[in-house]
Amino acid sequence: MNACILVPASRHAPLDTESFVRATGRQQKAQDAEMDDTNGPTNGPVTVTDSQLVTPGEVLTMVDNRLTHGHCTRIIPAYELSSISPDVLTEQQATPELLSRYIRSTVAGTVSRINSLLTVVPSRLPRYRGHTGDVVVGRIIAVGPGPRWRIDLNARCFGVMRLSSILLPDGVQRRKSQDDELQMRTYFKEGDLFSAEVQSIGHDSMISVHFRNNKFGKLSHGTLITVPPHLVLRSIQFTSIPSVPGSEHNSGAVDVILSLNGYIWVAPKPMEAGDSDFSPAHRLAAARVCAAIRALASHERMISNQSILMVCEASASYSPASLSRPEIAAKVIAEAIR
Amino acid sequence: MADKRRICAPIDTVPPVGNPRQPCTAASGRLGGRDAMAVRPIFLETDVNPQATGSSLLEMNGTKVICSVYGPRQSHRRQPFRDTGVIDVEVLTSPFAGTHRLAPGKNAQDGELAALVEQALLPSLRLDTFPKLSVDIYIVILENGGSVLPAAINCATAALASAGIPMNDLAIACNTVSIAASAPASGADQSQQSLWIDPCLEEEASPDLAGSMLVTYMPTLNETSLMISTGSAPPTQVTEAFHTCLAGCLSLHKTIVECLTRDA
Amino acid sequence: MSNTSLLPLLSSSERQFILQGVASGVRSDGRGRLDARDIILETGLLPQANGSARVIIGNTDILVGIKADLGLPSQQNPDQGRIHCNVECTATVTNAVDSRDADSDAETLGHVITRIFVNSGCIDLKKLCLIPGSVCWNFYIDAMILGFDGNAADAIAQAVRAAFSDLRIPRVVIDTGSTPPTVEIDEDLRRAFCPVDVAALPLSMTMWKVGMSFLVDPTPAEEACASGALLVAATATGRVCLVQTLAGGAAQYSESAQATALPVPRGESTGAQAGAPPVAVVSAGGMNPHSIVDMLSTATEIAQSVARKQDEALRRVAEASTRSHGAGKSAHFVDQSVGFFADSFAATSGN
Repeated sequence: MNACILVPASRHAPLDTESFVRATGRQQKAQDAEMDDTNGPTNGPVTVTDSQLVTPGEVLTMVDNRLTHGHCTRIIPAYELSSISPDVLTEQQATPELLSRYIRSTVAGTVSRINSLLTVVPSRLPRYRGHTGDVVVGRIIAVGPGPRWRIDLNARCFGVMRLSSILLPDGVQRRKSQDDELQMRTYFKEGDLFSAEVQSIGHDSMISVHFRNNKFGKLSHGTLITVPPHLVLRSIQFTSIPSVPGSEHNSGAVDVILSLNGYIWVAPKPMEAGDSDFSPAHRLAAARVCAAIRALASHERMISNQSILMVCEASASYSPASLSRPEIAAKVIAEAIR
Repeated sequence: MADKRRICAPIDTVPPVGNPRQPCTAASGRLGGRDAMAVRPIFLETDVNPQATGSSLLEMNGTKVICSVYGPRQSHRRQPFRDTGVIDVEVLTSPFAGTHRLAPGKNAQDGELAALVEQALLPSLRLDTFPKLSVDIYIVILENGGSVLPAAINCATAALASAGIPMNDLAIACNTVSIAASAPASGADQSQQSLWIDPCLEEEASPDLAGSMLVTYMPTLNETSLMISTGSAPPTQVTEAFHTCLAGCLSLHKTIVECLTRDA
Repeated sequence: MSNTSLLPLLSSSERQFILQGVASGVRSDGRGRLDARDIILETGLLPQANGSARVIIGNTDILVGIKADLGLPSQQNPDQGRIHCNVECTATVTNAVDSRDADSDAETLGHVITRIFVNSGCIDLKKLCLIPGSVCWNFYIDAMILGFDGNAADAIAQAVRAAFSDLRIPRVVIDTGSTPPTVEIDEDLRRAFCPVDVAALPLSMTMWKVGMSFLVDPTPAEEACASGALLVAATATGRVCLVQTLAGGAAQYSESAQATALPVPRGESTGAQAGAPPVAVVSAGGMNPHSIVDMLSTATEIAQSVARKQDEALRRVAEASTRSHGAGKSAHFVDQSVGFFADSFAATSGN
């Protein structure tokens, strides 16, 4: 969203930090489960409480053996500090050695203390970083040079898909030859959308994707919606909603790919494979799903199969087009949460 | 500040006073008593620039335009991959083209003309026959005697045809002005409005000007690639002007085809 | 706009999906072909400008400021004031690597705005001239595109019209007795007035040709699939001030990619002639003259109704501001379906 100084505060709902911490806390906990788990509270002056808002450079606490400092925190070594400066905590002059015993935050965000791990969760969560095994949706930006495609994954830098990692359209599994390299544009060209799995992440954070099985591949006849990546729940990624609540009976199923890089793909499911003719009711059902996802994203709610269904149900009395109006979206989201 | 390559006039000079050209009014009628639906006689000659792939010179009494086409050739601009060709139009109005001397070099109006010429020509060209290449079209307006944009479009079409670029159809442009007997107030009833096709400079500068319309039409495809209508008028009069322009385009088309086949 | 920098890159099947959706009357966000998104209108945001307005349609965010000063009239028209229009679209809005790509789109829009407001004669420039040949009012209309989500031309025209309604210039006293005649500005701002008849100003409505049908208020993806557009600017009284064809985003795709057989559009299909073949090939760029004439009357009606709604919203804004004496005035101006008049407006007074 564009941050514009002229926007009156009432227009955007204030950022719900609770849901942020809740949303990411779940993921952080999973990642940090194997972190060292010393029991008991630490001694020593812990000066910040959990979920407190901090700014860059703000002191969190003193260095302690039993406390591990995690992401977005830092202990500034003595040689980087100027010779004498006031001590934040005791407000007396302090030497660099003294000052280097503080753990400080490096970002603007909320403090998160899980057992002995002290981290700061940034308010503006960074772009999609990628984890091996993530399901992502990407778009081809350029073909080549060499046997690879440059792709856009809504991440920090462009990703790459190698010719060796795609599945050929005829389903044959073979080593790709020189001829295949010359025909790369017939497989994927600029602008094509596809779903894939993250194969690896290079040391320069360039994400490399591949098609693990034939569930992945080129996407057609649908709509792409971009949402902030941290709002996509890490659960079932490929879902199909057989009957969208609020749409006509038997209008058709809607496939949704909740990719973790924020590029969500919504497509009406064709009756037979390759069919591209959809009835207006079927398209309206897909439009309702799109509107539900956009409403969830604009209200900073987690997007998952469940939450989409709940919003669709709550929006049954409104048309998909009117769901884009802020007051109606707010009503529907509030109803869905109950 | 000053352009060192050119000789500039001394600072304290003024252009000679007295402009013999008088703008036409509704009362005075068209310049030289021309009929309302009469297009000026056209002189069109192709291959005037032997170095270019194609070129043409179009003259309509006071309006003279010359156009050179180069290509299809490698584009000098870095383009993303495209499976169609592109065209690049540049328009330059010479400093001596109008009543007041223009500063040499390109100005904002030339950019606007170039964008409109590009929009007018694009649907007529078969861009998929020269992928990754570009056709460069350079238009120089030697003299502006009115209706300069249609003249530029017609000249460019003729140059493209003489260059042998594959085209769907010839894009022919024609314009009209509508002259009101009374001043064009926003609420007044426009009962006395006349349409003059292919206006010259005096007619375009008329104080009784109520609006103008330019249409670029492709007769074989039956499609309009560019249409601009300015001025304040009820929709019926806009439609009338539109149909007049289309008729003008058709008659111009016949003439231009004759010129091209005669030169071929 | 045909420039690639503002419009997204699409795959051919996404384009086909959009084309077929438009043909069947259900767009990707569930709207019908003639359904427009909500319009949020605010005026009086910029205290340094003589008039200002902001229009937000979806994520298209346009801010217009009008500044006035006294200057020399042009040589060609010494008895008229001057209006200069400028549209800026910086690379911050687009994902263009270079701001020069964004500039060319902005330039085209600037020319369109000039034609709508200046060349149409809706503003009496003679009234803006104070001393012929020597002193006249110069209005500088500057539009900033702060966000692009499709339909920039209409949003800018609406914002400029609203900015004109907010425009206040001071009264002047012309002293013809002295030689040379002098102009003195009346410093009392309470006597500042609006020099322009806003009700007579036009509003634009662009009809985009996507496939064989026309739609209003496209999203960037729909603009990228459009083969052309017809922009019609009309006043609330039905006078047409500008008709112009624009290039659509489809010009960048090859004809072979566009030559997909489309089914005959179901339901309302404007522009389809009687006796047209059932399966048609989409051409890149040109428009059938018959459809232009059809579109002209439809677009004029739509532009008229939007102009009337905007007038109503501006009237509420003016009432709200006189009640609250606030510096910032805003009105929530909701336009649901241009086929019939929506009847819910929320006017919120200044911040």
